[in-house]
Amino acid sequence: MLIVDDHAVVRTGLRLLIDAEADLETVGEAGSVEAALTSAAGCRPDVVLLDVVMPERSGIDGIPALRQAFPAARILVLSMEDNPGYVRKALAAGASGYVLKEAVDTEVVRAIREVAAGGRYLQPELGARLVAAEAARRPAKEGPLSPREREVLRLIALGHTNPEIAAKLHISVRTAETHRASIMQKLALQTRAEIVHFAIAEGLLEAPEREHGRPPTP
Amino acid sequence: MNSRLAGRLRRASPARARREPVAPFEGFALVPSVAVAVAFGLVLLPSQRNDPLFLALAAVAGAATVAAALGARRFPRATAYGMPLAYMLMVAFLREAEGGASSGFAGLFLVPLIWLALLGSRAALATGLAALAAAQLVPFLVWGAPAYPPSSWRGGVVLTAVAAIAGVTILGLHSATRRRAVENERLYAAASRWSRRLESLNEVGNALVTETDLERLLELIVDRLRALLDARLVRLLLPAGGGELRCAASSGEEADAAGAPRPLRVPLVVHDRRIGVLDAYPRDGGGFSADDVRLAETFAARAAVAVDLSERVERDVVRRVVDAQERERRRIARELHDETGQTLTSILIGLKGLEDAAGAESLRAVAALRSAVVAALRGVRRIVVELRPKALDDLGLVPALERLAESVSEQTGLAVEFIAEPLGDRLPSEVESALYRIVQEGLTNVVKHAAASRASVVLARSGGALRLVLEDDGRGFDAERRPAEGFGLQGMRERVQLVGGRLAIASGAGAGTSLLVEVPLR
Repeated sequence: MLIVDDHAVVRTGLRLLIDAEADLETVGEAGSVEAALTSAAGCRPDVVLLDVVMPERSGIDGIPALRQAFPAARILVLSMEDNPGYVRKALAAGASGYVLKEAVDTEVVRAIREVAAGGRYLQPELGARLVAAEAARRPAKEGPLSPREREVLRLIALGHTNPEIAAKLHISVRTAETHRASIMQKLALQTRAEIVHFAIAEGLLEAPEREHGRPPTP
Repeated sequence: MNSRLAGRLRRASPARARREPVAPFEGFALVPSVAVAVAFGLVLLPSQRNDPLFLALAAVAGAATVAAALGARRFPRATAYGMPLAYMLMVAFLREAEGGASSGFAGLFLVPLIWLALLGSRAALATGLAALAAAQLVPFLVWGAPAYPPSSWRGGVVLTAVAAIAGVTILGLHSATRRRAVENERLYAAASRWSRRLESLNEVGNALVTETDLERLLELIVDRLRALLDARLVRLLLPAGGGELRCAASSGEEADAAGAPRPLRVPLVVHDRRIGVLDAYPRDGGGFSADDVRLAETFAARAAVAVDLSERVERDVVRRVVDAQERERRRIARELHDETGQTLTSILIGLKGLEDAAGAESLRAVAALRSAVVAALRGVRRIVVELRPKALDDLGLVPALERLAESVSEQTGLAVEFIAEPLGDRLPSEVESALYRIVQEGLTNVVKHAAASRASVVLARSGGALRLVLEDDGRGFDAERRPAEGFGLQGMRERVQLVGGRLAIASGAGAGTSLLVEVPLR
């Protein structure tokens, strides 16, 4: 094990925790990614336990360098940050697992064993959060609306007024009003809030804005 | 310009000069008549050779003179010419009646002539001279020859010539004086107008430097401009957000602006950017000259400088406060994370060791301690995120908002949907901070006041701008009892303005509330 964390107290605690397990052993510790790359260069850890928030370079940014320095090692991130963005970024950078510090006593040992065995480990609640975040990124579906109506719907959801929509799409205000009415009628929606929720559900808001005045080719 | 000169110039006003030759009649009309009475008393009555016929004719002419003088008020123009004629005839008849060459008559002839010349009317003087000449001819025309000796009537011809020269000279002098007075008056009016303008501009210029209250400064500007333009109403309008204008300062009668003529509208321009307008409404039937327009433009330029300066100072202050706030929050967040967070983490690890070593009794106590520490750790993390989420700096706006929406949902039960279009590059950190704080504040408002079950946060590019729409399905509010700048709206607006964006809020009773923020992307 190689422990990379900028807090000496935490490092000491982790070392105690790990060394208490018969099958685990700490071979080195470092206060930063840089220190790990230089002073700990001699040791050959199977797992690097890595903190995210550290002065100088963040743990996640240091993952590629650590992987290069310790090609045989798997990387397990141990952090206070529970934002799915960090998890995604760490996994993308080549980490094998991610554990929150609040679960340090219950999860870390299990995670180390899992990762060392070649598997991946995500703290369960983080996994759920990640899935939820991905689910919000559903692709757009074709509905009963025409492409132009979908465009108008998107603009309505973004809070544009009829005159603004007309100006953006180079149509008359009356046409914009007609589109709006037809959308409401087709979808049986009554309020703006309903329109917005529909647009969100349809993933319309994630469609990059198209060239004005040109319908998309099917 | 001293007041005596001003008074003199005012007396010689062009308006009065135009009313001549009529006006002097009102005061001096009876002068010739009085002169006649004196002539009767002093010159005629002591004479030995009175002719009753001519005395009678002179009396008729005298009566006509008096009648003409009395009628001066009603028929001023006719009197101006008629009375001297009647007067001259009277004098001529008196001379016949007297039958002598008394030199006293010369003076009598001159009186009306000088008077006519003083009237300043060339036509009146010509009439008088013609009358004088005619008076010399009367004896020849009526009786073939005058009763008095040739030396005397030759004297009459000379007298006529002298009177003509004197009259023309007086007339010339008189009109020259009058012209000069008129010119002086014009120059004085122009000079005092410019001096008033300079004074006002100077006053406004000084106020620009010394007056710290923008409202008072703008009041001064509209006040002075209204006085200089003699306008009915001058108003200064500034944008109020949402494309509307609000009256920042006004001077004059505010009422019935609807039926009033269209105002003179001058824009307030700073760096080719219109930041407001200055409206000047003319008085009924009045208008503004090109000079007035230039003056209004000068004042508008001053007002623009004032408004711009005040906005810049305000923005600067807000920016510094916001920066300091973010810096401080970041510092506290880091400290909490580093000190408290890490200490709690190590305690947690220590508890684990304790747990392994503890006997069955202590195990429960250790477990309780453990859950307390975990709760504290979570609390620290929540506070750190509220203070200044590290994710906002490390990962950007979208992941930070994602987590925010999620944690609001977890903590309050409000279903918050967050949808963001992939934004590509990171936004300027100022924009990220502003939008993050607005969503944070907005969601807090929804939880506290809206009684909503669902809220959505939408972030997308539209045109060259980034649009953030925060909506809820709560109870909303009427336009009337709109929490104008409450609920932290003022702060949100300031943050949006700092990054050059705009904020709009729409709501209706029972129709939820939507908050729209648009920030231009460079």
